[in-house]
Amino acid sequence: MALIEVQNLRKEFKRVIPKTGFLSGVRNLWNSNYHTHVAVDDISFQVEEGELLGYIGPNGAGKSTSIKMLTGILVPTAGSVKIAGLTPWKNRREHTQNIGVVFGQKTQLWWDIPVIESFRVLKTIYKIPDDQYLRNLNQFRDLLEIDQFENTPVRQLSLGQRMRADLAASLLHDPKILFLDEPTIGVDVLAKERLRTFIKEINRTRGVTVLLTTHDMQDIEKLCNRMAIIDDGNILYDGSIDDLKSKFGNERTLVIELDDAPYRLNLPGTRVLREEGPRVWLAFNRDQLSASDIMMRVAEHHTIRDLTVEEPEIESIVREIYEGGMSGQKKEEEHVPVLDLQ
Amino acid sequence: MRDNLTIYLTMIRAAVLTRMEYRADFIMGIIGVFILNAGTLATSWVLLSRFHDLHGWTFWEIVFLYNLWLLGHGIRAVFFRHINLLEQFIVEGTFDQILTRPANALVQFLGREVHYLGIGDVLLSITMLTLAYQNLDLHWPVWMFGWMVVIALSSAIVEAAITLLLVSTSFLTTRSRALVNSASLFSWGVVQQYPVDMFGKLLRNIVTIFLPFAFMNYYPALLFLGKQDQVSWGILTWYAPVVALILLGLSIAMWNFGIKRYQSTGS
Repeated sequence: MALIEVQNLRKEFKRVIPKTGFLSGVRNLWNSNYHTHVAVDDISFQVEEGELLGYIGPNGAGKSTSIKMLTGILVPTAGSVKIAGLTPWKNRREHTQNIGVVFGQKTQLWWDIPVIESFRVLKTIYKIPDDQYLRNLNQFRDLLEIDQFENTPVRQLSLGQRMRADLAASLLHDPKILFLDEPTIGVDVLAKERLRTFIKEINRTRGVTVLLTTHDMQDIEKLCNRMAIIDDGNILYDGSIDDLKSKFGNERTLVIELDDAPYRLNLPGTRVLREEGPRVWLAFNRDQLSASDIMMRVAEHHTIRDLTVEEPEIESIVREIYEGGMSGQKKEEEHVPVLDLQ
Repeated sequence: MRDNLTIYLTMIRAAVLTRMEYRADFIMGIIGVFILNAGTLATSWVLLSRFHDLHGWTFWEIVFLYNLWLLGHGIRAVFFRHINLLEQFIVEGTFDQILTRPANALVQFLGREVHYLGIGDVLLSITMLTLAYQNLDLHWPVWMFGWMVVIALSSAIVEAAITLLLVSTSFLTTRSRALVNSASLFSWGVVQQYPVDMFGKLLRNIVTIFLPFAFMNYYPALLFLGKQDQVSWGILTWYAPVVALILLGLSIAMWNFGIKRYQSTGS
């Protein structure tokens, strides 16, 4: 049995449509105009122990709502979740012993007191035995250099330090699963790298299963062995990053710089993405055309000054999936005309 | 239960440390509230001294009434003032955090903050109660001082529980401030400084049954001032702790109901 099993998870919110006009504040008290908003439509997935799953999607896609259901904060409208054999919202308190949660947007530490004092409170709340607490604390002092700022109030920490402290706090009770909601948001490049290294490390050494949401594709590429893309409350893609690249990433971009004046290149099998001065960006499917074919065609009429082939970045693939749903495939069919090189 | 107490005390320690971070603010706050309440008291002093008595209550009896309320109110303010801020806890996501931890949500919520402003209230009310005691030439048996402690705590609980009961509607609407504010009008606007027996039946019933703030000071004061035989409801003077416990039960039930609704609506 998988560690996390999510089946047909659904969450609807009823939003009151506010009344306006005379005494609207009073009349809104018994407002009965509801509008049902489906935040999570129908989501199923499984996570095995030790996996590092990236959960991505645009704002409002349903990421946070799913995380809130998995952590036991919200009760779903329909569907089931089993995490380490427990239903989060039914066995909330037992479940929370199994999980660590970090919300990047908001610290879980006490804002005005030294970091170490927050840890002490968490030690009591989670009933962490002394030896376990000390062992973890020492490890985090090593790995995250918590000791540099453990006596500083959280409000005086830099964002990177705060995230390190938050990560350490979420792991003090040795959770099996770590939920990270945008753990690298707003953090500078170096600090990001450090957080990633740490997350990877604890996943490897402690076997902690990690589920993280992010907007930073680098997080996904550097950390996760699997990613789920969610939009409009549904999972659009669930699989490895390499698979995603080979499935959707067979499009290449050829950047050609021509010697002569801008000229509209109309080559069958390619799509002009952009033109800028003498430079043209041409998209093509590498399964149907090769870069050298295009080069030859162009060279017949123009002098090529410079040229590069760009691999798709994961980011652009994901953007394409957000925009076109899974119909990304359809787009391919559209721009596969007969190749006619005469 | 013991776990809850340990967690509560640990959290209160952290909350006190938080306040100590702003030491100047801490001292200024206490002095400020002291002055504020002394001001209010001085105003009523001037007003009251114009009358010989108010519906059979002498000046010092009114002072006693007022300060019995202030004592409970102050204790409540120290430990439970942030009950009013539940709305903010929900909106800012602090409440979600509480739900991701393996301790009772109410214990975590109550342990989250302490407020030194109430200390000024407590100091002032104890001073004024002592003065009233001397001026009224009271001679309580020893047990009555113990009863005084019980009443002070139950007053704090009465006010905190009524607030919790009302504020739990935040879970359903995320807006409860208007409700809490209008209800507390009956507390500081009515029972705080006027003996309830001077009001009509309707208002008396409201502050006795629906929003039983009168159990914070009026009913207990009947015993302390030896007035329980002068009114037909004198027996109620003993019931403040019972009312406090009932309200506590009701408010916890409402809180739990609210959390359930919150988890399923996520409003």
